[in-house]
Amino acid sequence: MKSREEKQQKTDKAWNELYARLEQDGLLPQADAPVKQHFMQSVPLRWAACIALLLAGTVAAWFIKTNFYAGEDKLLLANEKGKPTLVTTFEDGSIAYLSEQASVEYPRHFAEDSREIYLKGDAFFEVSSNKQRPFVIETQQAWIEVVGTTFNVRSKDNESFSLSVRTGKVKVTSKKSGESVFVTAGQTALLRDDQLRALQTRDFDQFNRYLKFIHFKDQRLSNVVRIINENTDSIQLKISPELGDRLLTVTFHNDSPQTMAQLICLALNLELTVQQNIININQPK
Amino acid sequence: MVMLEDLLILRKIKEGDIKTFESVFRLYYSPLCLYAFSITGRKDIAEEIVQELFYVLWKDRDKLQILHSVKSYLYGAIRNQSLQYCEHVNVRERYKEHQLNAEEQVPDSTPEEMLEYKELEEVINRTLKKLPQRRQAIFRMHRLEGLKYKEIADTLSLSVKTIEAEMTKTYQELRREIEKYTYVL
Repeated sequence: MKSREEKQQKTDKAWNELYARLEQDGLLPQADAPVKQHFMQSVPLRWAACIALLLAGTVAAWFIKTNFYAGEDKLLLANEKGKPTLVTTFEDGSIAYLSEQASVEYPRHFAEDSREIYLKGDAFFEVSSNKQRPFVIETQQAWIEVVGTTFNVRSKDNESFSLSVRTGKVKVTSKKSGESVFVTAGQTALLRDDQLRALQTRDFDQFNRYLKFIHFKDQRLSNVVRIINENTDSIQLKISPELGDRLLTVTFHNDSPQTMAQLICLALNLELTVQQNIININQPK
Repeated sequence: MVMLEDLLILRKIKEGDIKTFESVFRLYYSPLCLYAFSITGRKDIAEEIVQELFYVLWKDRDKLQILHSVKSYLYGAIRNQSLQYCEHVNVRERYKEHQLNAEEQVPDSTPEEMLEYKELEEVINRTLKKLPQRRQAIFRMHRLEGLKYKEIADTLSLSVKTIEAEMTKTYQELRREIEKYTYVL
């Protein structure tokens, strides 16, 4: 019988032929190609790599945390270039969705009278309601004061700043002029040429952009499911109550709700059943 | 159901990750060649079909849709391509020619390859022997005598649908045997 080695040689030869053909036809990625490949290369067992992909996100986040400044009782979470939206939940239950190259600095514990964080870059926020403890976001250009709402902040470059509110009401104050505007659902605050104005929101797709390619890191399953449901009309995911606190680290990339449900089940060893427009996720019997 | 692993593999390939593509190629190359061989009866054609499948798979990876597993997708595609090959040539002629030229073809193959070739025929024959007689007869008529499904159906007084169903079962059995054979190696 042919030895494993010979079989290997034959496969090698076939692979080299195919590779040469792809190369000749210009079908191979450029040398400076996707950064995404680098996790794969670092995993020695090629086949095990596919499983390790799920963990890659976690590793990246850990790397960021340890590589950035984290002052006294302050934590800094940053998202790298080209990475999926990074979702993080603060201790009060508020959620930040960080775009690529965005970062937040926040205290390990919020003060008793306010919840303050510092933001660089673009992010979407879901702030949990607490009138006694306003949620304040500081950016390079403005202060944003929130009671309980969802909104999108764009503060990527130093010159311009914009904030679009999806639900609720937000107060934005320009750091330079001290001027304030109130922004409500469907409105956008725009800071340009030192002028702060509230306009009607035109780009509603900005809210959805975060969800197309999204990374949940150690998020409670109930949060993940809620976020998926808020962004789909066709179908809803339902989990049994005891599963709500299970933690999940997962990346979705333009996946359908069905695929996301399958991924969740595979990752946490759960079962799903479909009833019309509802996907139920349960413990296996 | 699509497995988590398959989804991740698919995503990586769509993103242009050649390493993942290579690992899929390496894992399935041998068994797929054998599977194609079991249908076409030609080792060179089998290898060509497998290479072509992977070439197209990479080239059109954006359009790739895998509904079950990567494995069943590959086997399914190889089966279709192999069957297409059989339909496009006059199998009867090819088979005779192949038999006649068997001697001439030898110089191209190394002794190991000849041995493997023989082993493959054995795997196929062994698989066939396990099949119910009717299924076996249909496979032989189709593969060895080069008869079309319609011709077989007429000869055996069966419907074309039955012939198709029997052939599908034969291919499934062949696939199982080939997998066993390649993973034992």
